[in-house]
This record gives sequence, structure tokens and C-alpha cells, in this order.
Amino acid sequence: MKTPREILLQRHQAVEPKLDAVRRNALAALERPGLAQSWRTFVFSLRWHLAGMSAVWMAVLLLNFDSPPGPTAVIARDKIPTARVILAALLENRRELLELTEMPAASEPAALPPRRSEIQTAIEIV
Amino acid sequence: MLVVTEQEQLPVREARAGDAEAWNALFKRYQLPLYTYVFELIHLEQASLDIVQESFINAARHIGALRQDDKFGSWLFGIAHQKCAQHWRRQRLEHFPMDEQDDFPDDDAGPAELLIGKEQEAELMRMLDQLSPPHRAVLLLHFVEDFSIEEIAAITGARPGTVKSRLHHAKNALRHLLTGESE
Repeated sequence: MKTPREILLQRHQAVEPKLDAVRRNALAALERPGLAQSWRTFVFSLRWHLAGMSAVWMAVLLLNFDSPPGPTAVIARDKIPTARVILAALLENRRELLELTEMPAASEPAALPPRRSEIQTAIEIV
Repeated sequence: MLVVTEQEQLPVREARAGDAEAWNALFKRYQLPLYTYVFELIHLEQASLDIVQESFINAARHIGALRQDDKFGSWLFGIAHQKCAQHWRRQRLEHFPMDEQDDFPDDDAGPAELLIGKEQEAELMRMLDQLSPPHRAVLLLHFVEDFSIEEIAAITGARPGTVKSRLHHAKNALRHLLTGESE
């Protein structure tokens, strides 16, 4: 006489070799880390580097937010030219360019040379 | 002879710590009972072997979800049961009759008290095959590992009352088989 358990288990005892293989496969799968496990291991190995970098960035951000704008920034802001100054500079540049290319500027017409008769009259008067 | 000892000292704590030897011992302890349970539910050898292997791997990867070490067996069978249910769904074989009553008395007869002669073994297996999957699951869990009503309820996801009802029906049928009475 046997218990139902004994009958059931003995009915499948022939599969034991295959179950041993299943067990070995399962154990091998546990020893072989998955992608997620590899990633976790990699990140964990860099934990001190990542913590250090985070601390540095936090310090940089805090300093950037807390400190008022320095003198360099103030000076730079003061030196920004106004639109009128820029326009004047541009006109000056244009004038210099025209002079260099020897073209008469529209705003300043070149003075015409005096006539020969006018020069002679002047000599005579003198 | 295969005997389930009470208060087994299974190396679950060592397994939690990642001890490969502990996992090997646990897998070796449960490989045949788990396979027997899965095979008697789905009746396909290769699919049963696959389910056993997946259950082992899942158990090892999610051991953190196990709250009590002494419930490792029922927890492992629960994983395998869910995989059987997935298999049924894939095969469109799911059948869970819901027309049962929950007011059956406790059945104190343990699985070891039912002794079956050699000439009745085939009858036992035929009777098991005739049961619906939910009834078969309950009776197998009772026979193979002697799980409590609460443990079987946790494994199968059924209410304890439903488990008690299914077990009562199945054991009555078995008694009728053994005594030669008609139901």
C-alpha cells in the first residue's frame, strides 16, 4: 500500500535526469547576470566618482546662484554702447571707407578748384 | 521512500544571501514534486520542464518578495501555478467552475492516511485526470506537499472556503474509488 504522494512521485521519477539538467540550467542562469544586473554593477562600481562629480556640480550651482554679480559683469554691462553711439560709429566707418576709396562723400562735396581767371585776378590785385 | 518531513530545515536564509549551494539544495528538494504538480495539470513533458525551470529562476530573482522563510514551498508552487495558468490561457484551456458552495465541513484525513493498493493506482490517476483543473490542482497540492487550506488558497488564488469545498469533493470521490462505492 502506498500514499497518493508516493504513487505520484514514483510515476515521474524517470524524468529525474532531465530535472537535474533543469536545475543546473537554473543555477547557471543565476550565476550569469542579466543586462540590468551588469548595469547595476557598473554604476555601483562608479558610485564614489559619481558622488564626487555630483558634489562638485552642486557646489558650482550653489556658488552661481548665491553670489551677486561680480565687478567684471558690472563693468561689462556699463560698457555696452547705446544705439546712437553705434550709429555714429557706423557713419564714421562709412566715411573713412569712402575716403580710402577716394570717392566723394555725398554729405561732404569736394571743393572745386578756383578758375584760372580768378587766380590771376587775385594776383593782379596783390 | 519519499517522505515529507515536518519542520524541514531548508536553507532559505542562505539562499537569500545568494549562496549557490543553498539554491541547489532547494531546487533539488522541490524539483520532482514541482514537476509532478505541473505535469499533472498540463500533461505536457517539455512545457512542464520549462515551467519548472522558469519557476526556479523567478524564485531566485524575486526571493526578496518572500516574507516568511517557512513558506518557501508554497511560494514556489504559487509561482509555478501562475505559469500553469498562463499556459492554460495561451492554450485557451482555462476552466474554473464557480458554482461551488463553501460550507463543507473540515476534512481531517491527511494525505498519508489514504493508502492505495497497487491495483488501484491506475484508478487514482484516472480519477485525477477526470477532475477539472481547479479541483485537480487542489488535490495535487494536498497530496504532493500536504499544504494547508490557507497555503493552497494562496497558491491557487482561490478563497479558503472554495479550496475546502474542492478538496472535500475530490477526497470524497477518492474514498468512493477506494471503497468501491458509487457516489
